[in-house]
Parts: sequence; structure tokens; C-alpha cells
Amino acid sequence: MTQAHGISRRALLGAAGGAAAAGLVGGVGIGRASADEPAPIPTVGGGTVPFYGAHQAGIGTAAQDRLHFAAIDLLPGANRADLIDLLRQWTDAAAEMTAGDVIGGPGESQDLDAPPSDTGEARGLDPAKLTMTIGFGPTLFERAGTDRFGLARRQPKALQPLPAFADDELDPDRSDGDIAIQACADDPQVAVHAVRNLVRLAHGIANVRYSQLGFGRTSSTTSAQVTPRNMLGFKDGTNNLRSDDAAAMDKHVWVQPGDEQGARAWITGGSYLVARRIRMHIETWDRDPLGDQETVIGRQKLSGAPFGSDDEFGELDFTKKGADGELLTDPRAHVPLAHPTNNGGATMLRRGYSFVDGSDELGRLDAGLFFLSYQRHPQTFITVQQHLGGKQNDLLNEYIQHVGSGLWAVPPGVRRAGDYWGQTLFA
Amino acid sequence: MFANFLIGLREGLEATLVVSILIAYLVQIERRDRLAPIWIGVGAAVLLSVAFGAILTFTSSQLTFEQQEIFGGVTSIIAVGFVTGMIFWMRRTARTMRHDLDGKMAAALEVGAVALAVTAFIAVAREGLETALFFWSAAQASSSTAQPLIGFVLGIGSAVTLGWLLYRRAISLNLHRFFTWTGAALIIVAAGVLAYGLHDLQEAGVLPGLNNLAFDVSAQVPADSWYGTLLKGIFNFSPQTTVLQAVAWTLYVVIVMSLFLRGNGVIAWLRRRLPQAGTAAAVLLVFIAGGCGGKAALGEGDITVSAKDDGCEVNTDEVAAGTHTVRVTNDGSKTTEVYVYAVGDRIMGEVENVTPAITRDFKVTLTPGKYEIACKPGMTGKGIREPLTVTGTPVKLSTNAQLREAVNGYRAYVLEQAEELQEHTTEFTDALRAGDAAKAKALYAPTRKYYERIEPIAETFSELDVKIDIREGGNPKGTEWTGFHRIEKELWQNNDVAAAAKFADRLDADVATLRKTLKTTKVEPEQLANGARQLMDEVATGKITGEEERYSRTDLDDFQANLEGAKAAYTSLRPIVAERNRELATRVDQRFDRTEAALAKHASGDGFITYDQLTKADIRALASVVDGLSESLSRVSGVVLQ
Repeated sequence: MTQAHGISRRALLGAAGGAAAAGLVGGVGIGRASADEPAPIPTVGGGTVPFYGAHQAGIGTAAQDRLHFAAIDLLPGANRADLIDLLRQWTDAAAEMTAGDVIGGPGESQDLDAPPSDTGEARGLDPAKLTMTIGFGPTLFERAGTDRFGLARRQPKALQPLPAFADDELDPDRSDGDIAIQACADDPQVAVHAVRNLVRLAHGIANVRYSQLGFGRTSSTTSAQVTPRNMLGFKDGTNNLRSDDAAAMDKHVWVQPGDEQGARAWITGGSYLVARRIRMHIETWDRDPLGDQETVIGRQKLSGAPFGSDDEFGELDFTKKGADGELLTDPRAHVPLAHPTNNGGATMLRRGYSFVDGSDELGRLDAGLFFLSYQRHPQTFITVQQHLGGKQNDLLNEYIQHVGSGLWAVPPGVRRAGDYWGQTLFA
Repeated sequence: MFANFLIGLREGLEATLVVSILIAYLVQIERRDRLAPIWIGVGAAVLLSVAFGAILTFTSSQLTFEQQEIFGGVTSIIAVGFVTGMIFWMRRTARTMRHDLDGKMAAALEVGAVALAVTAFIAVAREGLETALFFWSAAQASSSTAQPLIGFVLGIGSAVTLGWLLYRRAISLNLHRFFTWTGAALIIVAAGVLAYGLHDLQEAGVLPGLNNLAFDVSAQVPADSWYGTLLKGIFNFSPQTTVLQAVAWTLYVVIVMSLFLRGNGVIAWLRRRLPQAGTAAAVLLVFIAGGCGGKAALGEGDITVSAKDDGCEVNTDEVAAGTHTVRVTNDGSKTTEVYVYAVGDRIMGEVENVTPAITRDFKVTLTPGKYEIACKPGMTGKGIREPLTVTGTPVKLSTNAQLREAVNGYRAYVLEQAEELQEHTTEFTDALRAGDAAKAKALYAPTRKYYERIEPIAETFSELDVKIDIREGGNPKGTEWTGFHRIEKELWQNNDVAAAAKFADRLDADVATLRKTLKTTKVEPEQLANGARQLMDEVATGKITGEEERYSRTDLDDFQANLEGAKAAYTSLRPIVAERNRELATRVDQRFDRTEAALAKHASGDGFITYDQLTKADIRALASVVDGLSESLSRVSGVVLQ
């Protein structure tokens, strides 16, 4: 069992860092009107993010700088008991790692005749606000008509494979997966260590379908964060949902009581995760004149401000016209098309990362955005993407291509030591 | 009243048919400036008719029956001559117009202005005078002028409306069909007029055989029934037709229609064969030469090119600045094309698809400087080039004038490509409809090249672009996947030409709409500068990766077309770039050369090897030159728009 409150040198450091960070933002936290205490959100520096809570960490948590994402498939022959056992082991390991411990705790065996229980590369590193978040894909409930784990009747109605979007070029080997693991930290080695160790624990039961490293969070998810820039060189996430707005989070991110009924209600308090691997045609983008780049995005590159304003957080008024009577913002630009006002209010929490997976066979950067979004209902994403996708819509489509895709139901948080990830699903 | 209405309708229709087709034709070839002679002719004829009617009505002077008939008969036969000449003149002018690339068409139509006015005048005057006569007799009979006048005016109004509807239909047709259908229709109309004119002369006693009837269906088709009126109005059909009328009608239709349907080479054929041809053809020559001026005589300073398989013989290497006719004769054995290039291969004028033994003209307007004339036997490669110096004092253009010239030149190029696209698309879809899969496959890439050349402009109409050029899965939700790539999949992947043919009509319609839309589209200088780069970026992201033509594998043909389109856009701006940043102009020229050379390595037959025959190293080499070219092109807009 995990020593959730076990004290290690690193845990102490981490706790101190977390407290300091919480102090900086004046104790703003993500809270819900529940019995659970609102958890403080560390925003800067190292430290730990609490693993236990009503919601999984890594969603409302201020976006860390690094990502290691993995999609896992259960192996043929794995049964329900194997799955539950795996989730229990994972939960314990995740609780230890996110607390800055090694797997196996301070008393990890040093038996020279056995491999160590922790792979060891995170020893001595700050916990770097590691969070681990998991989600269950539609295939976990039913795959090709087979109910492998006795879960078919519990599949949320909202959890249906995403429809095809115009101009998708999806690689099946980089799409979907029975279980998604999202590990985020401010130190890439800490994030990689976390996924590596969960995968290690799964050997024989499950293996990796694909994984993705990301860097440079492309969205700010709290008010205190400076808006970062994506690989296009533009500020991304200026208008993102702020996780410190609890009412907005309930409205747009967390599945609410009543959203799913009966056997499917286990998802209450959880969310839905959409991942899209979006390749950017970096080279052609870099040749595009600045004016056109700004037209395509719908904001100014340097300041991030809307047209007709010099304030990044200036009012977005897509109907504003210039002296010549022309609209300042092209209606087919990315920002207006994606904006909630043009999507029936569809609002999601974006939490994506840039990626560069080396260069392709033509010597071009294999780079782009690993888009991650959390929403109360997948329809939010579907609405927006149907609006964006296709040559005739978002001008940005000339420079990007969606090459990977996945949707997962994210179970509610692990409330206390001894519980496990997705416990409500198996109850 | 109704009888008067029918007379007005019938007489009006006869005149309106000819006039509306003439107008539609001029609009089709974008020669609205030539509409004036038509209206002058129409106006003069209307004035004459009204005056004639007024004189008859108010002076009670009277033509004898014979005089009326002789007048009607002679004018009818003259009208047939003009209309026949017009049919062939239209065709010939269309050929040269289509290749008059530089957009400066003002000097291109020096023949035909008088002919246009006279044709319109005769077409209207013939019916107008007749109507005036009818009106006068109707007024006599009813002892009132108001009633018959209202009937006539309503009838003529309806005729003009019908003519206008015909005109609307005609301008939405593509040129190929337009000529086939309107030409054929005009021949039928003219045959009717001929028969009618002969009948008039028979009635006047000038010609014999008035009572020698070929058939009499006046019981079945009463002349005063509505359908009798329509048949008479449109085809000059007479229920009582004399043998002379029937023979003349049949001979005219058979001879003229067969000449007409000989297709593209009809004028060349006429020129070669006329000496040996019979009387009917000789008469045609008279009409063509007399009524329409024939092929324009070459003036001093005009350029003749003898394009051979291994040479490009030009009659001069120096001309004065101004507009010149270039007369190209293909003296070789391969289909050829001839270009006049300014520095940097800026196309000043060109003629494509000149088959052996054919002579074609095009116009170029040249300012002083160095040019090259290139013959491209087999229509590939850089061609055999001959230098051409244009003398005169160079004119320094203002920046705005330079930009305007660039935009006009490129806009003319876009319209030219759109027209070619429409014609080739028809040929392609005809093959689909005929179920000829092999032909359709062979025409697929050669048709698409006209789209690929103007893609950045075409893409600004994103809804049309999606209908014409979207790849699988790119069509918006709830719409059907249509266009070239749908047809491509049915042809190559599913081997189902019948399924492909289901999208033929849609493609025709969408391409027609695109062309129509382009005609009214303004092109901005930045679209030229960025268009060239965007085309190369299309190559970089779509063609180099083999994504565009995933079933036909004709990606390199698209590549070539994108490259040509980029060059056309860039070379329009090149004079400005060269003036402001010579280094950049040289760099872009050099990178165009390198890209062309890299692509030319993969040429095969009239096109290119398929994408799947490329090695990874080939693809990488192509990607590198494209990136280099696109990088240099991305600097152009900053220089041009500074």
C-alpha cells in the first residue's frame, strides 16, 4: 500500500514548494461545493500536486511545461480481474510518484538479485508538479462487438468514437487506445519516468499503442499564467477556460450528476478527454508573410491582441470593421471560427502541448500541436471541430493536418488512499 | 388583336434570334466593346422600319404585291449570306481570341465591325419592314391604329424576352457547346430564311414553281395556330412548301452543316479546298471574304513563325514596339506551341495545340526590349528559342501602372486557363459519359492542369473549390463528395467508369460556375505575389508527398501545372522585382530553372512518370528545389508591395 503521507526528503521539498506556490496565487484553488477540501493549485516552481481529490489532477491543475502521453491497449486474454488489479497497482504507483516518492516508497527493496521496483531515473529530481491522469476509451467497454471486461452496459452514452472530420488524415496507429495516460510535469524526465513505470507495471496485461512527448504547454489554464506561444509563434490559449473559475469548470468540464443515468453514472465528477495530433506544415508557414499569418489566425502575432486593439485580453469583436469598411478579422480565421460565440457557446478546457518528433523523410520538421482538451461532453469538441475542419472553413487548415485522434472518458478522482483509478466503474 | 400579337411574335423572333446569338457570342469572348455595331445596326433597322410603317400609314402610298415580295425575297437571301458568313467568322475569331493571352484585345478584332452592324441591320430590317407592312394592312382593315399597335408591341416584346432568355442560356454554356449548338441552330434558322426568301421570289414571279408543292400540311399545321406561328417564327417553316424551297433548304443544311461540323480545322480546310469546291462553297467563300473580311492580311512588322520539329524559323529578329500579329504555321510533324517570352519567361503571348499543317494567329503587344520566340514541338520543354528585339524608346511606367499591367496580364492568364479548363473538362466528362475509361484516364491530368495552374485564385472561392477539387474526406458534413478526385477514385480505384460518369454533369456545372465567377473577379497585386508562393507550397505539401492524386498517381503533372501557374504569376511581377531588387529576381529565375530541370528528369511521353515510380531520393531532391523556390518567392511580396 502507498504511504500517502510518508515523509521523504523529496516529499518535504515538494510540499514546501507547493505551499510557496499556493501562497503566490493567494490560495486560489479549484474548489467544488462538496465535502472535499478545495485543493491548492501550485502554479510556479517545483513541488507536488495532490493526487487525491474529487477530480483527477492534471486537468484543473495549472498546465505544467512537459507532457508524456501514452495510449495503452489491453492484451488479448486480459480479463476484468487483470484490469482491476492493474488499475490498483497503477494508482499506488502514481500516488507515490506524484508525491515525489520512488515506487515502493522509502523502503524500496535493494535486493541485488531482483530488479528494483522503481526504474530510478527520477531520484534526486524535484517532483516538478507531476500529475497523472487516466481515461477509458470506447474500446475498453466494447471492441468489435466484444464486451471484454463486462463493461458494455456501463459505457457512457456520450462516449462514442469521434465522427470523421473534413480533411482528417488519421493514422490508426496514432489514434484511439483502450486507456490514455497523461503525465504532466515541469521536468521532462519526471514525466517520462512516470509513464515508463506504469507501462512497466502493465507488461503482460497491456502494452503501448503509441506515446507522445510534448513541451511548451500551449495553453494557460489559470489566470496567473502568462499565455505561451505555440509552434506557429502565436500566443495560444489567451481565451482559455480558467480552472480557477469553479463555476465555469462545473459548467464546461466536469460531468455533472444527471448527465449520465444508472449504471453509466460512474463518470459523474469525471470529464472527457480529446487528443488530436495536429501536424503543422512548419516550412510553408514560415514562408507566409506576417500579415497573412495574422489573417489566418485572427490575432496579432507580437502582442496576441485582437485586430483593432493592442491588448492581448482586449475584447474579441469579430464584427468590428476598419476604416475601409472591411471586417478587421477574416470570418474564416482560426480564432473566430473556434470561438464559443460562434459555436453555440461550446467551451472546453484546452491543455495541449507542442511536439517535435525529429524530422520526416523529406527533412521537414515533424512538429505540431498535441491538442488535448477536457470537456463535460465530447459534443463540445465535435461542434467546434466540425466548424473548423475542411478546406472551406478554417484558413489555418492550409498549414495544419490532423493525423491522430482519440477520445476517453476520464473517471472522477481517487478520493483517498486505498481507492483506485476508475473504482466507480467497477463498483 | 391576337393575330397581331402572333405576327409581332413571329417577326420579332426571327430578328431576335440572330441578334441575341450575336450578342451572346460577343459576351462569351469578352468583346462587349463590339456590342455597339450590333446595336447601331439594330437601331438603324428599327428606325427604318418605324419610318417605313409611318410613311405607309400616313401617306397611303403603296408597294405592289410583286415589289413587296421581291423586296422580302432579296433581303432574305442577303440575310442568309450574312448569317452563314457569321457562323464561320465566329468560329475563326474564337480560335484567335482564345489565345490572345495578354489581355490587350483592343486591336484584335479589326474585322467584323461593319459586318456585325450590317448583319444586325439586315436581320432586323427584313422583319421590321415586313412588320411595318403587316401593321399598315392591319390598320387599314381595323380602321384603328391603336388595337393592332398594342398587339404588335406585345408580340415583339415577347419575342425580345424569348431572345433574352436564349441569351441567358447561351452565356452560361461553355464555348465548345455554345458554338456547336448555336452554330447548328443558326444554320437551321438560315435555311428557313433562305427557303422563305425563295418563296417570296416565287410569289413575285421572279422564280418559277410556285404551285409545284413538295408537301402540304396546312391541314395538320394551320399557319395561324400557335404552333404554326412558332414553327414559322423559329424555322420559317411553311406548311405549304414548294419543291424549290425543299431542295434549297436541304442542300443548304447538308452542305453548310457538314462544313460546320468538320470541326476545328474548318477554316483551314476551306482555304485549301475551296478552289476545287462546288458553287455552293464558292458562294460561302464570297460571304466569308466579303462579309467578314477573312483572315486578316499581315501588315508590316507582323511576325511569321514556321514551327518545325527541329527549328523555329522567324521572319524577323527585330520589330518596332506596338501590337503585332504572330502567325504560326506548324511545318513539323508534332503538335506544337509557340510563345513570346519577355525576360524571365514572362509570357507575352502564346498559342497552344497547333496541329501539323495548321496556321494560327495570336497578338502580342510589346514594349521595347529583348524577347524570345520559343517553338515547343511536342509541347514540352523549354523549346527552340529565337531572339527578338523590340525597338523604340522605353516608356517608364509608374509603379501603379506597372502593377496594373501585371494584374491585367495575370488576370487574362487566369481567364484563359479557366476557359481551357471548361473546354477540356467537357472533353473529359464526355469521355466519362461515353463510358470510355481509357480516354477519361488519359484526359484526367491534362484537364486538371488548367485548374492546378490557377489554384490560388480558384481557391478563393472555397465552396466551388470544395466541389471541384476536394480530396476524399474533405467534403463538408452532409454534402456529397464530388469533383475531380471523386471521379479519380471511381476510375482508378474502383474501375467503375459508370460511377465516375455520375459526377460528370456536376463537374461541368461547377467548372462553368467557376469560370463565370472568375470573369467578375478582381485580382489584387498581393494575390500574384503570394499566389506564386502558395502554388509552390501546394506542391510542397500535396504533390511532393503524393497526397493529391492518391489513385491516379499523376502528382507530377499537377506539380508541373503548379509550377507553370507560379511562374505566370511571378513573371507578371518580374519587371517590378527586377527594377527594385535585381538580386532577388535573378535568384528566383535561377530557382525556377532548377525546379524545372529537376522535374523534367521525370518527364515521360506527354506527361510524367507516376508518383509511385519515384524513389525516396527523387522525392527528397524535388522537395529541396521546391523549398528553395518557395523560399525565394516568399520574398517577392515584400519587394512588390513596399
